[in-house]
Amino acid sequence: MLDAILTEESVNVPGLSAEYDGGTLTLSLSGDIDHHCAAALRQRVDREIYFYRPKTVRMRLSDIEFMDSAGLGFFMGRYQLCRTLSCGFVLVDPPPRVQRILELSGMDRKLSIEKIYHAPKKEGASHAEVR
Amino acid sequence: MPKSAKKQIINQMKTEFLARSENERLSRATICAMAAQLDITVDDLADVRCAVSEAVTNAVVHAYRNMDAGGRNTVYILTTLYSDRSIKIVIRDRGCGIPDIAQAMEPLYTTDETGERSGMGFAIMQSFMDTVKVKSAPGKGTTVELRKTFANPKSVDAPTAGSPDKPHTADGSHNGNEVRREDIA
Repeated sequence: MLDAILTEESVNVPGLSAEYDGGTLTLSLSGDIDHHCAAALRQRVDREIYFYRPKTVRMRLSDIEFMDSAGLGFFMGRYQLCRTLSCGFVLVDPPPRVQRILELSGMDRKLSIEKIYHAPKKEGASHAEVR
Repeated sequence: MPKSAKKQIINQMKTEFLARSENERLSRATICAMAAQLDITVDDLADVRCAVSEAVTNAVVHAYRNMDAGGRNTVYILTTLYSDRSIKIVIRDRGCGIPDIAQAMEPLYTTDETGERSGMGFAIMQSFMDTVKVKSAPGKGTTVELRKTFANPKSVDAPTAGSPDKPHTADGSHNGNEVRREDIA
């Protein structure tokens, strides 16, 4: 019953879009990445990787709204898969919160991370609103 | 705030739900809505959100893995807001318990063999909260207590000026890496 509502278009599932160009597969993630949705996301991402067999996988992270350690596990797993397939693996544009978790785990030293400049958002000083 | 001033409970919420992964998001949203009553920064709120997510995920993934689904596979959360701008979140399960707490809390330690889990759950909780206490014993469930004291909203730009008392813990110490092992009655 509940499963029928939570389809791939649902807000409860992280967004994934894939773009392939000249050997590079760019996967853009958005929404929340937690333990609950990591398994489904893994399947969808791996399907794209096996389909295109790219030379490099670029994972664009700038639209991720929430991520916990399940996201780290997800990145580690994809990194291992890409190594097995002899393809490059790059994390692109992690938001500050994601970057912090990557640093905490030391994964920022293990994986290649690419940052694209964005105008800084006013964060931290503003107070949270009750939604 | 003078040290003698007793902190008081402002608000308290009990939450319980089945140990299903769908409820990880639910618990994050619920506890964050509660924490936001303290008028905290977006960053502080994000810290709490992530720490709660880790603790609840642990309960969902590990606590009841060897138990039949017909049992009471419930996760209990008690969230308390205090007048000294602190929050206490106690996440409890009646599951299998942790045989070696120190090992479980080690960064990168995981029971997972598929390479899909990071083993960073407790490390993230410790980094994002002031204190993390774990009580557990095999067969007796696990209790994780998270505490954090937030800066005064007026002193956001200068966190040292006029900030509230240091984070309070039961024994008066301020140690983010506290590990305790006690049997749960």
